[in-house]
Amino acid sequence: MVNYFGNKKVFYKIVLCIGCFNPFSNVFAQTFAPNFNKWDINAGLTLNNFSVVDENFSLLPYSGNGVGFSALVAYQGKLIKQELGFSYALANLKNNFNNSLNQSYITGNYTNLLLLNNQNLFKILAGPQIALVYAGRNYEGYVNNNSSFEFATSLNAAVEISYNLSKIGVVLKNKIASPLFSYVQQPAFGFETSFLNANSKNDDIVNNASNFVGFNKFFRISNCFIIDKSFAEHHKISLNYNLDFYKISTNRAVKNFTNTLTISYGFLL
Amino acid sequence: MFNYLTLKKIFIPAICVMLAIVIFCGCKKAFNLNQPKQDPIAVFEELWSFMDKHYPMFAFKGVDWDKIHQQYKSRVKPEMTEAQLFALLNQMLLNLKDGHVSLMSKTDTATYLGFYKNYPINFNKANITNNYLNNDFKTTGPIIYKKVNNIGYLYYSLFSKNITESDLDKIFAYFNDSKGLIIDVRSNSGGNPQNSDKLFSRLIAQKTLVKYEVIKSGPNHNEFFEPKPFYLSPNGQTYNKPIILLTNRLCFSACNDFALYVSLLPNSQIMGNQTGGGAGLPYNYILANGFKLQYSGTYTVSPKKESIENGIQPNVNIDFEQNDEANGKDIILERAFNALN
Repeated sequence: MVNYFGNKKVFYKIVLCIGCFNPFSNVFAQTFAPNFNKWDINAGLTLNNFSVVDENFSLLPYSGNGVGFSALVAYQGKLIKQELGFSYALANLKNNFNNSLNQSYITGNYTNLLLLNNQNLFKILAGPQIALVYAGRNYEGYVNNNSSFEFATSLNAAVEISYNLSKIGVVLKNKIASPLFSYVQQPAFGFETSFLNANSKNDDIVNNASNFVGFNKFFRISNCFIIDKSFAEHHKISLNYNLDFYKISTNRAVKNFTNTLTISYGFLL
Repeated sequence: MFNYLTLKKIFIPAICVMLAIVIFCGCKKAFNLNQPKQDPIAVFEELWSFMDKHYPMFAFKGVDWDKIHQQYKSRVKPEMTEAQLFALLNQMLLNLKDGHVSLMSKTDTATYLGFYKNYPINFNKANITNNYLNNDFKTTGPIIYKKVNNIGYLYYSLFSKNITESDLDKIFAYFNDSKGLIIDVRSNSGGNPQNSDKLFSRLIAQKTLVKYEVIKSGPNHNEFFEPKPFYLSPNGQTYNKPIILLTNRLCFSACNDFALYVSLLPNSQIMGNQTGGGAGLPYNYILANGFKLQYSGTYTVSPKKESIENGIQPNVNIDFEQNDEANGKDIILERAFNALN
């Protein structure tokens, strides 16, 4: 029998993987690498391009641009990297017959990545991520069913690769994440109206349909390409291109596709 | 253990390929967000299928929707013009005999009007204002009102015209010392149910179950949530003296609901004609070719769980006699005044 636990390096990695959502996981990281901790506090403005199909309202895609902001706090040890991210955007979208809707779009995630490979300037990190996405839409010109939303919380698998172009002080990163399983909340099948809400408080049953689902019901892929450029000891500027697509295959089918370009400032500690 | 070489060889090129696809080959196409088919056959199938999943009253109306599909599918031709397709789709929807179902194109709107078209209207506003109110009445918000021989008369033309609580405070303070109240909602074709709810909240002394809303829980014809109770509570100064509601066939949708609510009051009666129905909330959907569909997304039943889709029966059915309207008479209103005198 192979004694995996005889190999200290493997043993530590397994412990870190198991403990990655443990509040004490920082202690592990700091124990292993007290001198490598680094905080990155990042805030930026986003330009978003959305395209949405909500089949309860129309098969026609509604597309358009929006603006928003994002924030990220990252902590990097020698072996693990933790990130807490948030973004918010608003947009007015139109279909090709000029019908419009307003969408608010919120994402958040907590990512815990383990350094798998560190060969010179090239790194691979992988680990779990808890991600949430909320999209709320108000349709103009609809009588009673003029609003809808979806909210999904997922346990994702995330992988990040990065390459350090040290000569020019630039780090290129690409991070991809996709859910393993998710908790999805939407309005119930036939329930859309605000009139009922205004006069009745007992509509919990019909207001929301919530389910734990696999990737066959909620598929999401999020890919973020990042260019970090340090311009002083504690400062950097980042340009991110994020592609986020999700597809809900319940009886309220929704597809939501977002391209986001973010320019952000990062303060490094 | 991780095979770094494999990761480097497979994973990185995979990321690059994916990025290349989404950026250079069209992100929306890659994720199937392109425009849906807009030819007549596709639009017909889309409409039929959407209604099949979302329309809640096939069973109540006794409509065999699969049979309708068979009947109309063969009449859809790829070369049809937009106007021809519009006419055909409208014909298909007319089978539902539902005044909340309509189809709109850039140039046309088609709605089922059978709930009032073949019935007498029995209402002429000018006759009332000229001959019964003597062109001397009060107007607050969308409501005109007056006391005649200490009997209140209140006319609400359309529930899509918004009323405020302060409007109602003023109106019901004026009616406070009247010995009875006539509420005229003839030819009120509905609108925002919040307005009818506000008005009814002035007529009750306690929280009242006024209806159940039946909501679809899934795409099959028989998938519904438990009927959802809907209560209204008294608000502000309320009126507890005898009430007569005047209705006709054009009292539809929110007005139909209002007639149901008033029929529940012990101090009320309804005079005139059966209301036009229209139980349920209209929802919208936009088809792939831009036609806008309106359909009943829910339906309403009474506290006894009886459908009100076909209207509310009056306690006293009255029709205008020949020449009444021409002679400036409103015998429905006269009967109401007499009953409260």
